[in-house]
Amino acid sequence: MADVKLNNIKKSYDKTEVLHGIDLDIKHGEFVVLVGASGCGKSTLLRMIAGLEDITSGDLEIAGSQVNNLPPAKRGIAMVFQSYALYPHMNVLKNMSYGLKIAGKGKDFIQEKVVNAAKILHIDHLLDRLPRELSGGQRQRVAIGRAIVRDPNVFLFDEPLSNLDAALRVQTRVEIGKLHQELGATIIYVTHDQVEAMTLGDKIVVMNEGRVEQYGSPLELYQHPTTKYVAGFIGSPQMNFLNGRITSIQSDHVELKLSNGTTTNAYVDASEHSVGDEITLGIRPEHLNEGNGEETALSGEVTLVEQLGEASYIYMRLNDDSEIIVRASGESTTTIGERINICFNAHSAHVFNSEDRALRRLKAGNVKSTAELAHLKAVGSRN
Amino acid sequence: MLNRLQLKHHTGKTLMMHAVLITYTLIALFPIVVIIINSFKSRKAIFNDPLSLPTPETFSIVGFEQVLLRSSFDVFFSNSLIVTVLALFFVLLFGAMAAWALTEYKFRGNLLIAILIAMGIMIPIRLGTVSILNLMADLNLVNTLTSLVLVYIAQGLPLAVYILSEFIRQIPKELKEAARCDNVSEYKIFFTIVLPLVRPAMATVAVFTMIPIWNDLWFPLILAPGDETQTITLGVQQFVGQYVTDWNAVLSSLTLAIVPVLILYLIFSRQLIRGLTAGAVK
Repeated sequence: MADVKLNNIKKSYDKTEVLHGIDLDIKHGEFVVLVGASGCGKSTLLRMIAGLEDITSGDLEIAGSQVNNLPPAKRGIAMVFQSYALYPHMNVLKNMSYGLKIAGKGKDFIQEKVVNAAKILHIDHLLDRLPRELSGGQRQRVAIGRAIVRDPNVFLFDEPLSNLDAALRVQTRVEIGKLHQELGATIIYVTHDQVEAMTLGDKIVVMNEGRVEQYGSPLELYQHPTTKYVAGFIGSPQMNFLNGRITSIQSDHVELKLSNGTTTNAYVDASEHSVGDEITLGIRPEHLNEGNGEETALSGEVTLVEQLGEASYIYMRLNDDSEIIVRASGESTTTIGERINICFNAHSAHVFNSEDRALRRLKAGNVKSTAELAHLKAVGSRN
Repeated sequence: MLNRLQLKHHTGKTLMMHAVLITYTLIALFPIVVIIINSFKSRKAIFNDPLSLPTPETFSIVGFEQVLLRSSFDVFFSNSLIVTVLALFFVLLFGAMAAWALTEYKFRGNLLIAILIAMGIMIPIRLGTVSILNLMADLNLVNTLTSLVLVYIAQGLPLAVYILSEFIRQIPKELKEAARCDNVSEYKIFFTIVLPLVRPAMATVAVFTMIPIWNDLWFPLILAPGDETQTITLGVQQFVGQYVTDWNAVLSSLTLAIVPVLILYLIFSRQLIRGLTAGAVK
């Protein structure tokens, strides 16, 4: 079993601390995605788990033993780099078998391992090619193959899809997901792409400025972000934020007055707050609709329309100059300069206090447990 | 119209470039050609018309006979070859190792060593001839090939380290990290991953190192003038007398001396070309 435990892991370069005490508990077989804006420390954390960066303080355990001071090869990890890092002067076969050869494994054993891995990744016809004769996607697969043959406890992926073009990225993403099902290995995956994070991860770790903002399943993060940062990071386009105040607190909801004068309800637990407190209302673009059909309506002027076909993103400015984005239907005929009404259901509203922490939502989201999700995924892959 | 003009301009530029290069090549090759054609002529013909090609009347290989049969040319030749090849080998090996250590590892004194080596490029080793001679005398190495090899290693290392550091620095760090994840030892990383990738740079360094060593007269004259340890450049001098110079022999031995450097150069330059075209790896 290859659980990975991080206990108050810190990293400083000279006197600048870049990771301020990371605690994570990753169970065997989990696919954990580290996301965050660039410079948040996610790659550094991954490299520390790999053993390529020193751990300044804290405990790192892999499979039950402390590995802080072990070299990368002794940790039972395999890493896939963003730039693939294939040995340019060795062919695919040698690239994949080099680690095993160094480990002193027998020829037949190596051959079998490599051929098996190559079959899984559909690169068995490329074994005698040099990396420079391969396309980006093939190189990426060779890099993954090199990781597979080592039978690691933990796979580490450092933004493996960033160098691929859009179509290939989606395809490889699906393949990595399937691979995880097939191998059942623990995977830690760094990306800045939240679609990759949402689709691949059993758990997502959102990092910000060297801290873990939130750690949970993709839907948990989407439906119950605990901070404004996570709310803004997960979901695309970004969640809209509107300033306001609490005007009344009820047992299952609060009444709010927004800075543009609109009043609305929000179904959150405000027991620790009082009337008059400043708050930020968060509402996702996909929960806003054109028209007046729902509880709360806002109106404003359209400043830009992006038509994607399946949906149109309407950028609009409200009376108090706050900007919001609406994900309207693809058939919307709204044009720039128009004044329109939009509305949303109070159940889909998020509320953040003045410290940017979320108030617990009481009536939103039927988050499935991790076990349920895993079951659904398994069913999905069988079909 | 514009295109045509540009094309014309372009070909003009190419012509110019080739004209300059061809002129330079002619100037550079002229003395060598003169040496080679005159080595196949009789002494009289050399002086009568040094620039003419050997004709049936003037053709003579008396110089080669003199060199090959009546002098210890084979000894000089093998001395030169041993010294050059050994020095070259160690310059490349130690140069690459030092360059790798200086660029890859952080240790106390790293910068100091790098600066010392850079200073070695600027200060000619011949300034230290007297101390080197004293040192070799103390070590009982005077009149041995070892002394020459040691001096040439010292002479070649600074530039080698400098050039190779630049190339090694360009190797992506992920490659080394991937190797470390593969449990490849630091020595193996150096020999199986770093060295093959800087092969073109090694070829450049080899050419730059080899030619001054092969052509050197100074250190063989001072450190190893004995009969058994003379190198070819020194050996040729025995045909140059105060009053009479055996030009046939001088030119013949110089002609023979060109051959091995040419062969070594061809080997390395092929590496150079292959290195340039093999660099297209992301």
